[in-house]
Amino acid sequence: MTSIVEYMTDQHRCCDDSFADAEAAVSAQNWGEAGQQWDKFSRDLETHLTNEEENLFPKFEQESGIYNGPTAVMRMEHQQMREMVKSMTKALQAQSVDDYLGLSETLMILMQQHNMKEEQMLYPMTQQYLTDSAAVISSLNDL
Amino acid sequence: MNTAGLSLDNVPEFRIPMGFFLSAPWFGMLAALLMLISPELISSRWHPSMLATVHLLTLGFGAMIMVGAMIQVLPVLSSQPVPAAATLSPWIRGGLASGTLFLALGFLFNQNSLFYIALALLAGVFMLFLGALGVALVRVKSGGDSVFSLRLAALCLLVTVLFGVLQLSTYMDLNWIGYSFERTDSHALLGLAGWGMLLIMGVSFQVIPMFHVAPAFPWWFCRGSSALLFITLVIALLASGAISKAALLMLPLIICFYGGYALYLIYQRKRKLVDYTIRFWQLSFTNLVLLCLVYLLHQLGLSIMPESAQFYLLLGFGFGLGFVVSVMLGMLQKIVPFLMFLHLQRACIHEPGAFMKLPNMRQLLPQSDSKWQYYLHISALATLYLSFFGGDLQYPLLFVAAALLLASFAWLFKTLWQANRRYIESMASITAK
Ligand SMILES: [Fe+2]
Ligand SMILES: [Fe+2]
Repeated sequence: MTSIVEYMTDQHRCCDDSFADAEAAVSAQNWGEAGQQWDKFSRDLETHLTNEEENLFPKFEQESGIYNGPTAVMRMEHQQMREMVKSMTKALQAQSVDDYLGLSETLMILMQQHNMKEEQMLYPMTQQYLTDSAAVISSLNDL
Repeated sequence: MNTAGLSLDNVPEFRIPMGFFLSAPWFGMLAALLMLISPELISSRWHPSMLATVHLLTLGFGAMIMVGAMIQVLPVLSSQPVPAAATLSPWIRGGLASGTLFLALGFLFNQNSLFYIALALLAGVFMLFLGALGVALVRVKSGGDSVFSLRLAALCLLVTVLFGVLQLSTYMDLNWIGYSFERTDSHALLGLAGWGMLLIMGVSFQVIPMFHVAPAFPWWFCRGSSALLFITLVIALLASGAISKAALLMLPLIICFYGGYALYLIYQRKRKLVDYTIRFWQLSFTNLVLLCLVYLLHQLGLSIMPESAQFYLLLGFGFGLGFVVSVMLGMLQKIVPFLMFLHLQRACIHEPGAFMKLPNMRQLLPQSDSKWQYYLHISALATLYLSFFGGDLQYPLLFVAAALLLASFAWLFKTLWQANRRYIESMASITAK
């Protein structure tokens, strides 16, 4: 049986894949491929963030009674990630390699740091409070 | 429930680590300058200029960067800040800088008074730093695999400093303890293979997956390799005869295994973009693995060089410049702009408009600067290696290597200084609003 930690971590990895592919395509100036991968990435990321913000986090907050703790920090970082995604979409439309790669470098690390905190702290904590993994997972949207 | 791990509020102000990073290149330049003036120092590890050069590099450059990085990295890795980092940092930095200078001058001019000052300064600095670091490392509750290695690294640093202080005191007619060549060996071994190696291992476990989207080091590998390395070092130092010899054979095997495995994980990374940090990692691990192999062959009686003394110098410089300094140069290219971005981003948390205008990492530290750093460093390194096989041309080759090294450290300073200026300007434009 899949745990919440595994399920959510898989979503992170899935986003990493399309992100890296989009980045490689941009650096090769292969704009068709870049656009495709970037669309996939931004769609998947948004699904994942929404899963957290509208489903997983509220459940965690309710069960644990911690509202202004880690989930608040995570929500704020999501907003920053969304801002960067917007800037990168603009850079992609303008076909500006330098802007895109400079931003993607930054978003990548921002995202990895964020994911690491979720995978190492928040998801395991959530798992402790929400014991019925299967029910939680079936209520989440797949990528 | 420990939620502190998710807070970024413990991250120290950026000028604190940056102060260390901006000081370090000057010592690299001084060391290169000494090699440039007196290439004959390569004839022996006991040559006064050699002792001065080595300590300018290890203390002035290496420890300076490592201390700054430790103060920065620990709160990020473990949410546990180094206590009083802001108050202590200027003292640690000043003490380390002046202590290193006095020590180098002491070696060069063989003056007891200089050694006294160096001893007081350096012992004081490391007591402060290790005290503060020790408190933080003991306080960490949910320490991950990285913290495990960092704890062992700190222990090694403590003993390295202790041995260094003991040796230094024998220079000063304090006849309470005799000079011992073995103690110098232990001091060097612990400093390089203990503190340096374990610190880099701990940091690599965290940053290689994070910066390059490579597979994570499995926990058993992190704990196992660090613990095994530490235990083997202890045995090598305490035991004697055949057991100690066996431990000295184990050591390169463990390190080689770690280096090879790290190269494999890097090869498996998802981000295949041209990136100088990854090239620096590849350069350093390739160096590490090759050095371990030639050392093993040497221990088995198959040496690449006729003279053992020269071989150990090659090993030391290869480990120091080829591995440790390569890692540091690579990390700085990425950690500095990232930290800058992190701080800028936090400064405009309530200003979404300002956030959109922030310079990105490559604008803060341009890729072209990293590229030059890489090529300067790799050519200095290649010439240095070549000089050991140069025969009559050893000194001229070393002279060229030293000149390239000087250029490389100067370039590092230029890069960091310009990045810092861009950061300060961006910060000013955010706070002005
Ligand atoms: Fe998240
Ligand atoms: Fe997430």
